[in-house]
Amino acid sequence: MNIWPIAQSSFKESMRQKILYVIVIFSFITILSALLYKTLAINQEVKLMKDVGLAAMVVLGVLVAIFTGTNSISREIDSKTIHTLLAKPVKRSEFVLGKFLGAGLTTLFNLAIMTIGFLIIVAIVEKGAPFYLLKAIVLTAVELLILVSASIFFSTIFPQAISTIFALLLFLVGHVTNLLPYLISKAETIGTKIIASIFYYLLPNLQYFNLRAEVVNNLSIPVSLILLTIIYGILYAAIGVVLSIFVIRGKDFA
Amino acid sequence: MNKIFFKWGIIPLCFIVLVLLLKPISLSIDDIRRIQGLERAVVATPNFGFDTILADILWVKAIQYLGGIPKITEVEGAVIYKMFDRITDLDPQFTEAYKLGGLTLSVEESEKAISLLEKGIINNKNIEWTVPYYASISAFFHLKDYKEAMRFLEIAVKAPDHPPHIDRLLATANNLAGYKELSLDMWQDIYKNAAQNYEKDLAYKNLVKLSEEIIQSHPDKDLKEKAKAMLKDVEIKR
Repeated sequence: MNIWPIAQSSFKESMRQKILYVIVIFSFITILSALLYKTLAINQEVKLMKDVGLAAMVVLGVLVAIFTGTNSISREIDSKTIHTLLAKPVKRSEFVLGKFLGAGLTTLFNLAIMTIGFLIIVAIVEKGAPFYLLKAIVLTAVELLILVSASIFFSTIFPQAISTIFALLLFLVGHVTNLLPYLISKAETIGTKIIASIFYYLLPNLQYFNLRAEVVNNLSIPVSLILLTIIYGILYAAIGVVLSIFVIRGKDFA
Repeated sequence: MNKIFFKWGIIPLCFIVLVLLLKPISLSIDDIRRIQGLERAVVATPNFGFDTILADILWVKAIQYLGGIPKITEVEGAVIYKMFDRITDLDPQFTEAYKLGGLTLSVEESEKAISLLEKGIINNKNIEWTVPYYASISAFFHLKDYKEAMRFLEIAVKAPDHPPHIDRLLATANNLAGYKELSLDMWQDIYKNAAQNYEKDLAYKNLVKLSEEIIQSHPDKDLKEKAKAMLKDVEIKR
């Protein structure tokens, strides 16, 4: 199995990118800046800090996921190193899986660093361990894995710039798919209904991964809901990987 | 044939299996979210998952707006209601937004205040007692709608940490809404369970006043007898 060595080398390569450090530093600045809201928010500065921190982790996590996802295969194709790689006894499916694991690990590693920093800051402010926030962060991690797999899939078809745009669009549209049933019921033309229905059944509902308001307000969230949402996310990530393997298998790199 | 299948057939097969698995999982997630009250309102502006951040920005804006107006007129009341309605659409668990919006609107726009606070009660199963209490204040003192006030106070007294004056307000609301017997029973309970002397005195005064009122003018003979017995009982114990 060549998956793990490919994943390791992909992770190491991605971690050499300076932009990732800039993103993590920027996330800390954003989280800390929320402490300045005290005068503006009337006793809600801790809530604001948690909201800003969790949202910053999503925004910056999405940037890392899309950047590493689209970059991992595009880089190999652009620099022609894919020829050397595939000339070795490496299956194309192993190549894609390795690249997915490498990009996924990079994304999760960056998210983990942001999480540690964020939890330390909240613990200092709240004077207690804010582990309840991990529920929201775990779901964010799974959402990011979907974006990594989608970014890899887009990068097997399009150049990196276009793949990045498509992946960003998927993130944005994925967060409004929960509104599509409403649009379908209100649509006047059959064409709109059909298009909206296709989008609704094909695209992931990324709002499932957004339980940030409930977590910040410390509401009880059933474990079954978190587990099902994680399975849902893993299945979508798997679909992205399967489609990427399908495309890569059909490509002629000669 | 087998080679072709393993090269090209297995991938579409995996894809179909994964897609088929997604639907029941997605339905189960929807069910749990509905049962647990975790469903969100359809918000007019798409927020791409950044609903709480938008709610916070609007909250900060609303506070700055409130600080800049000397008096709440009908126009300002409508703007404030819209702001807090939007904030609570984006973050339905933002209790402080219901409270601040409800308090700000309570005098000039009591109906809007009640509507906002009631939204907070609907959106939060374990809402703190202050939210229904603020709604009851608007209904009781500004709209003089005692039945509506009773409805909110009954929610407030269910909260385990509610202060004792809410029970007294509920007993008064019952009396003013015409539920004399219920009010009498409540005052008796308050009298029996009062932890402080001033609470006991207050309950005693109200119990005497209500009992005398019933004895003098209430048409129900049984209730008159009950009031007489209660008055006697309280006098003996005192």
